[in-house]
Amino acid sequence: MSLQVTREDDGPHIVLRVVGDINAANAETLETPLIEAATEPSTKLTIDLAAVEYISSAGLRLFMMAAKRLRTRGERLSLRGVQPSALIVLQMANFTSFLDIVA
Amino acid sequence: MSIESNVWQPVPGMSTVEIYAIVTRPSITSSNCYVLRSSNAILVIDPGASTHQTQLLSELVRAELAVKSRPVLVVLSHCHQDHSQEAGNLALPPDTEVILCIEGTGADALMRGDRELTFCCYYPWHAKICSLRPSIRLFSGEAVGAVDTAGQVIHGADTLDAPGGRFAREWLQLSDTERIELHHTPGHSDCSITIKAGELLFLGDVPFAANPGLCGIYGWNHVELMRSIQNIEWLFDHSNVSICLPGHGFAQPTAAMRSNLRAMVEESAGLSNTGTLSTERVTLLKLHLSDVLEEASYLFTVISGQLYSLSFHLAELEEAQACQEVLAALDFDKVEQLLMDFRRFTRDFKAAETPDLTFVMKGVQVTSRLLKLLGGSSLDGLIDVSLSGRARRLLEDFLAMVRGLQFAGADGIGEINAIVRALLDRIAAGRADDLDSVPDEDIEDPVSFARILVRRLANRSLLESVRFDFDPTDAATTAMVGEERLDDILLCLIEGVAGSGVRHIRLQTLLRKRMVVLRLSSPQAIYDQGFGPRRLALYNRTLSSIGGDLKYQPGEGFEVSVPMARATA
Repeated sequence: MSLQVTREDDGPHIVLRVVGDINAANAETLETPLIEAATEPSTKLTIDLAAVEYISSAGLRLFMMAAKRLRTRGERLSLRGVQPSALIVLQMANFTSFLDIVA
Repeated sequence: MSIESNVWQPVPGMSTVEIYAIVTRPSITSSNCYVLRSSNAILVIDPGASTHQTQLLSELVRAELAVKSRPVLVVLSHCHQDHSQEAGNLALPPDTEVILCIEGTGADALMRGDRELTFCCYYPWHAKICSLRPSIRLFSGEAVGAVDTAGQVIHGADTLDAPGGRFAREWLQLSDTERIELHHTPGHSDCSITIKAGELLFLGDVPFAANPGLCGIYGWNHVELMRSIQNIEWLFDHSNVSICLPGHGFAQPTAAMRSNLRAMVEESAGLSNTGTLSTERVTLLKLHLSDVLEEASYLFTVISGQLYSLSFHLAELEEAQACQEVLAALDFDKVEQLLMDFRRFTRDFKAAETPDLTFVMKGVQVTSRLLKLLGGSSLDGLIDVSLSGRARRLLEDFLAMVRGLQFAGADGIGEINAIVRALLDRIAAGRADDLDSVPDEDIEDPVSFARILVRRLANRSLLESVRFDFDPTDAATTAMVGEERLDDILLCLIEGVAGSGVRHIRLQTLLRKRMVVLRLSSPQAIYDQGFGPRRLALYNRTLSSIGGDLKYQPGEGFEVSVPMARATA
């Protein structure tokens, strides 16, 4: 299944809605819009993962990259609609210490 | 050049003497036996303690005597029962002259039936002491120049100037032109000697003298042992020795034996304070060993569980290579096999009449191998560091205890409040936000990122969701306990309690009657079922060795007490 990323701007709040599994083969599809959004000044960034069943390490790597970019201006990355299996890994790897899991 | 078993062959470096080696499976119940034949005498080195071996030996010597009647010289490398018992039981023609040669103190031990110096006390059965009366007391200044019935001088003595100090040498004449040399090499026992025949050197039990389970036995002396090894090395350098024959196991080329002896000197450097391995201590060791291996089995299970879980998550994240590396970090099959073998051995041991010391020595073997596996594995960064450290310290402690030493680290001094704080900080660190410390380039490079991921997944702690309160006493809490030791025990208690579902743990320190008390409690009830009596007994025994203890108060929690350091008390 190919990866689809759509961007929704709501004022300074950007939501990237992702559909499909995130893996090493398709992570690039997410990388460009994600890093672009994370680099834009004064934005709040949320990734909507409600339609993502599986995230490989390539996805985690992108989350960490984005979180670091946002950190430079005191923002935190938010993940919305995270599936339980992905949530366990995010907690185990202590990603939850630098990004927010929102409903 | 090598020495084959169960066949006559020339002794290298001698022109007319031949050797027949009876080499058995190494055990502490009977030694190897070596027979040398020459025109004027038959020499038996260490007849052993197995009736089967005696039968073989008797047949062999009878066949020789049938060809030519000669005196039979029985030389004991030392007086231990496994080498000497059968000296009086050889079935030989009645007119055979049997001359027992043993170092003087060993001769005394045999004569008075000393069960400790002859090693008999370590066997669960009533081991018999050699019944043959010593004829030649070696290295005692007596009987030099003893003569056989034909009036021939068969025994002489002089001294060598070796670096280990006065190195006494004696010899026994085997023929008009050939003799064997004897060297006094105490340490394993006072009466240990080394026998040189041509290029062969018979070392008795000197090569094993520093092994855990053997150091500290009655008659053992570390200083003498070190001096003897120095003298033996000097012999290697100054006389032509090509093959070394030990009291147990196979012959070795001199170079291999030299490196064994050197390794032994190095390993045993700290053994000068070894206490006597009394029979009471052997019984205690046996009990302790079962508990240690039970605990090690638990720790290795947790370690392998963590690694499997880590590899599972890595595989799920499509990090195949990192997953393989994790699985290769520890040889699970070998660990499993070792522990299984030991369980089987324990079952057989209980069913058979085996010396307690055999059990302890088997345990030493398993423990050493587990340690080696742990040392050889690259677990760093893959599992909670304290876990592999705990397993390592546990095994090292046991080996130290067998050697008659204190528990490693148990004799240190630690500040209890500081130890608790450091432990709690370590637990808290696992939950901290550390994003800033990760370099951008490591995140951008997928290979480096895989490493970051492994480390983060590996450092997940069971204690993440546990709330801790610490109420330290204001008084100084310096106590007679090594930092790592207390940390291990405390972490074991905390994990056990957290594992049973307790989510809020209170730690408190207080002083009571010259003891520093560390109390672990909770608003929830704390039960000890999760630990099993053996684990708690193990930690209680560790603390007892330094004058402390571990108490469980049903429902309430645990109390660890350790004696205050003198300056504090």
